[in-house]
Amino acid sequence: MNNLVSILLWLVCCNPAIASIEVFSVSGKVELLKEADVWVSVQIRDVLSSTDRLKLGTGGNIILIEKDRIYEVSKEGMYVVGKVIRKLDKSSKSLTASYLNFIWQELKHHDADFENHPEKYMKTMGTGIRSAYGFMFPPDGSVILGEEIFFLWDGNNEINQTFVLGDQDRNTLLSLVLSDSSLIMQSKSELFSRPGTYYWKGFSTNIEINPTSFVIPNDDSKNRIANELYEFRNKLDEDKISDLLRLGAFCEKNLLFVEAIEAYQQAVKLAVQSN
Amino acid sequence: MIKHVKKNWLLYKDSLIATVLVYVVAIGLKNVPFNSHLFDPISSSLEDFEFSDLLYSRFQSPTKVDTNIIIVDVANLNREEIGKVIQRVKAFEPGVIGLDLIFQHSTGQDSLLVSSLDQDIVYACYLEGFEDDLKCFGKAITTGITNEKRIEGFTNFVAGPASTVRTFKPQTCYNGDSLLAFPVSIAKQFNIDAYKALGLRDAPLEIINYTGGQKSYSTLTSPEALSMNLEFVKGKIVLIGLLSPDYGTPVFEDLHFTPLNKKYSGKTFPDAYGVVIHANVISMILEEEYINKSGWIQYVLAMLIGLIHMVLFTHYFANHERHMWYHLIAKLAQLVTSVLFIFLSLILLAKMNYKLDVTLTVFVIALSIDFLYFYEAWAKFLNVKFGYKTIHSNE
Repeated sequence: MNNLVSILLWLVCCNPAIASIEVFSVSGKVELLKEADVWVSVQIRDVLSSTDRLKLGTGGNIILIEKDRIYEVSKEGMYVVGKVIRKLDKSSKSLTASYLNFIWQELKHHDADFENHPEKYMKTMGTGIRSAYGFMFPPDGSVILGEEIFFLWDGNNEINQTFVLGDQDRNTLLSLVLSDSSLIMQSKSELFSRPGTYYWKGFSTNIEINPTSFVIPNDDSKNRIANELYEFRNKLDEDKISDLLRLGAFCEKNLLFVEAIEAYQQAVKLAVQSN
Repeated sequence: MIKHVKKNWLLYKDSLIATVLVYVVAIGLKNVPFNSHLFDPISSSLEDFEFSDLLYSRFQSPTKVDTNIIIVDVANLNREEIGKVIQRVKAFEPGVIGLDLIFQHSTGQDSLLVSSLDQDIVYACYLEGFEDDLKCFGKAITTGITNEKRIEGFTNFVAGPASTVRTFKPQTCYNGDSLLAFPVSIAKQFNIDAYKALGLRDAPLEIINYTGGQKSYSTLTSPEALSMNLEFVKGKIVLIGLLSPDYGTPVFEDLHFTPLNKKYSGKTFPDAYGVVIHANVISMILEEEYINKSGWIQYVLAMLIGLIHMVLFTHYFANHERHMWYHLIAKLAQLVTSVLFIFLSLILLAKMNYKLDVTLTVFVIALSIDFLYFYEAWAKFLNVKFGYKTIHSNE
């Protein structure tokens, strides 16, 4: 009997009553009822009570934090904060429910079905597809910024993308499957230890791209460019827009994109100030 | 004497009942529509494993070679270059060309490629939209840059995206008609008699008898195909598809798991390109090296072997003098028989192309000790309550 009373007391005391509710983010038209017929806009970090009433307009979105859980409401309508949190709590699957569902789904899957209905399992493509042409960014290949090489192409991000890097004879050096149609590599990696021409292409089953080349400069040409840049900067009048534009063009030509952007930005700044 | 006969009769009766129990449970676990691997992490890692994989992945030596098939890699070529490769190969009069690549849409720069494509080539396609009620595929991804009447074959493998390709479907229903698989279409063009032999088998699903991986076929890189003297392709099957340009660097497009994988369980890496799998299927059809699968024999075998084990186990378990040897004998018998039966299945597959499924036998042997205990407890209970005659009684 004592145990029963203890359990009941525990249930009453530990009943998960809704604690303080804080607004984590808000966008669009989301209002809070302050007094009768007086609606005020909800702000980030506002603290709400479970009896507060919210009104969401079209496109309105609010994320609430209660204890360590977040609740998102984005459907247009009127809500009582406590009720909507309890409703969202019920709709989110508990670990137990998710695990039981997983067990059931796994139990239902059986190898015997494979032999009886092979057509259902004929979803693996045993060929390659060359479909519509895709485009690279920039159109002539990749961008080298500092020590990083950026590869970007247009691809459907719902489908895995393949990235292939080859040497100047188009022997494959590296092939990767990506969940994105972009990749950044370090120019100082072992792969690029030999200066020269490299080929790359990124593609998926829907997108086809011709391999495009890019050049990793050798130390001599790097030193030559560095010297030329040093001389260029020595002769440069930093208050002359034309000099800055020439510097930008020089850097761009030699694939020093960061330096080129800086020079162009400075030129634009000067042009604005002089006007 | 009478007592001895009576005791022997009880031994066989008890063993038979216990065997039937374990047999029913083992068959149930094997055949009910439940995935019994779920609760066992070791089994889960071996879920996509069959004992026969050992033959292809470890014991198939020396590597067999099929000189009837030449594979040309065009993985890194553009359409114009692929067109050039096809034209050059055609100039040396191969028996059949199979193009394991789909050019779905026109790009406006396809003139050379289109001029190289004709109705003598077998084209790959990929079937989609299986309709359950019609038992037929309704859609296909095909080469759409030429409208010529052509021979096509589907390239769908009967496997999940990360599971092992062990079987192929020779033909399937597409838009109400029968469509042959890509390698079957090629084999038909190359050797009609071999194709007819496949047709006579009338099997909805064939097990692929793997000849070997990429090294079992002559392969040409695209520069080789464009520069070498290709006299040797005359009258042969030339498959144009995607390969690794060398034998080391994997290119991920059209790469699959097969029983040839050296690492046959757990987390591993796909090992064979689609075109190599098609080549293996063609080799199998041309050489008529089909694998026949055991039917009812596996069930009879499991019952017989299970019974022999149960008699042995019960003999040692129920006899007070021999009981001290029971655990040692039982474990040894389980181990030795399992190893022997797996070996037998490999021998049958290698020498007679006969795939004996020993899973049920191994399952019955593994479960037999537990069911002996279970049966002993029930037999004792029934003996006390109803006077049931059993070798396990305390008399």
